[in-house]
Amino acid sequence: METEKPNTKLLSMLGMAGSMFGVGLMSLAAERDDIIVLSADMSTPAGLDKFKASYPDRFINVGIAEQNMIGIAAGLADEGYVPVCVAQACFISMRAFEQVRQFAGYMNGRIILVGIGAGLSLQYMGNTHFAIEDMALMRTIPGMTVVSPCDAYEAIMTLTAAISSPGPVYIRLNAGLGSPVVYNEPYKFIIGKAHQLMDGDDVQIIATGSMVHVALQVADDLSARGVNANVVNMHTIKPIDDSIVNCRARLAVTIEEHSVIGGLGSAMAEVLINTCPQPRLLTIGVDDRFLQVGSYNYLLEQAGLTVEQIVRTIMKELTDNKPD
Amino acid sequence: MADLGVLKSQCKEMKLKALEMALSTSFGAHIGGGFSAMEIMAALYAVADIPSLSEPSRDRVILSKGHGVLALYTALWQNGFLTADELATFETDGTQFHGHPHRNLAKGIEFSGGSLGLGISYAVGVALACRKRNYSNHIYVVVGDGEMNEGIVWEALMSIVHFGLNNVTIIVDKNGYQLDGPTEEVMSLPAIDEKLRSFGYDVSVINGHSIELLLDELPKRGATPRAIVANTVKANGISFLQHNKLSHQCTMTRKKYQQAVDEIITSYGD
Repeated sequence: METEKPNTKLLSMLGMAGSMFGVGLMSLAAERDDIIVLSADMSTPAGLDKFKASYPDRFINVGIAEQNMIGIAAGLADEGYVPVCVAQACFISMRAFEQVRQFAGYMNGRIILVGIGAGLSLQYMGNTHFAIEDMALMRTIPGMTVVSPCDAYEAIMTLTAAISSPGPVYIRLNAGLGSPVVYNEPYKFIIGKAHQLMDGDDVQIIATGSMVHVALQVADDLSARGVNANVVNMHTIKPIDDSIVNCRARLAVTIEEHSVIGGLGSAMAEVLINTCPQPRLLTIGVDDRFLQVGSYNYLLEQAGLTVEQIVRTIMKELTDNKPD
Repeated sequence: MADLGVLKSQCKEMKLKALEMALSTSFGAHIGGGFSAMEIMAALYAVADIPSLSEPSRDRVILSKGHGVLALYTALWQNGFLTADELATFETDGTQFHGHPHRNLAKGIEFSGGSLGLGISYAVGVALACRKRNYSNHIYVVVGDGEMNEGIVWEALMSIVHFGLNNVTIIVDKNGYQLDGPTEEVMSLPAIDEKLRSFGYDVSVINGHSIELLLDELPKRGATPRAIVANTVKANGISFLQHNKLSHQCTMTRKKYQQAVDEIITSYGD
């Protein structure tokens, strides 16, 4: 698919999943006939109805059976097709975890997994529907690539890159309709290559998914307080881009709509432990607990993920740990 | 297709080779579930049309119950896909031939088994792909009755009928045992045939140790997907392991090995 100037506003109105499938997948499917989409009773919420109507022979609804979906996809993949499996992030990563490990990992099946409604985006659906462990789980599978795009345009770029990837890819989508826009202009998206959005040497903020947009606001706020932040869109959680570390910054901050255990924060800790000089690392995300159910903002507040809270946390860290 | 006498003697060779492999390992081998499936695997490779292992439209034999591995390896050996030297590496360091099969198309192993319940699901994808390509081939899946405790088995069984995959035949190796004991004690699954019929399968129930009956049933094609419930005996033909849950995974002493060999040879009337 061409990466021409995106109509970002339109894409964002469709949300990540809607843009990816309604726009991105449609043009990819027109180019190559080996793409098969599987859905676990999720075609309407995922914005797949257009694909289903256009390519009925290339759409398979497996019903509410994520485990079977992955097994079927593996059979298709081994026979030369490119299966794209779509389900809620919590169920594709957790209910079907062992199938993903077996088929995409151990049997090296070239399966694209798309988790929609990741993070806290399903709000009043409650904790059964939150996926704040998906990146942690997917990261442990040998050979698995894990990508968490930051907006609708990047979601399309991710799918395009994933289709041509030699191995399995987990794509995490955690923004709904009318999602914020990070990219108004096209950029060269490469899986595994982080994208620096702002330069600065005081603090390096590394964010993923929905939190990239938040990180940019945090950086603006910090700038007004005389703190220069370097902002990185770490869209790929695995393989993590270890070349992006700014060693001049004395503090690195990770922000993710995910548990602080096992996701971006952990991945960066694994990088920084081998980095010299080593910035301190502050990992911001959902603590080790289930949240009180509520609106998206109510959930973000509990996790300390609003712009104001993040700014406060970073400023406190800088004050408490002043350089000698 | 091989004639009955040849197949019976193949089956005997498979069993003797499997005993030799079991004797060779100190880790233990899945004897019980291997010996319940010996005739099934022998008959399957006689019926399956596999002109070459790289032929995309070859028939597929997918062993979902990975612990039936001794029957798979020895059937592949009898059909010329594996050598005796390769089988001699069974359960040695770095081997391709583990205690559960590992997908290796060059050797005829279609599926990495071991995690129970996954093979049927995989077969659904393979069957859908083959149908898309208009192949007239067939996909055979061997499942254990204990394995049917797993929920994904039923998800997959449902989907085969839903997608109208008449290019699939499910063979249930119903040996009545699972690791902890008889299935009725651990997790009973009465009337498997009725359950499969109610799911929409064309079902036959046969003696799974009868090569004649297997050769009759395996090539049958129905208007709906086929299922064969093969009544078998775990560790069939080895008196001290039959009806013994310890046969699931066990080692062999030289003395027990010799006794088992004698019993197998006697059972073939030599």
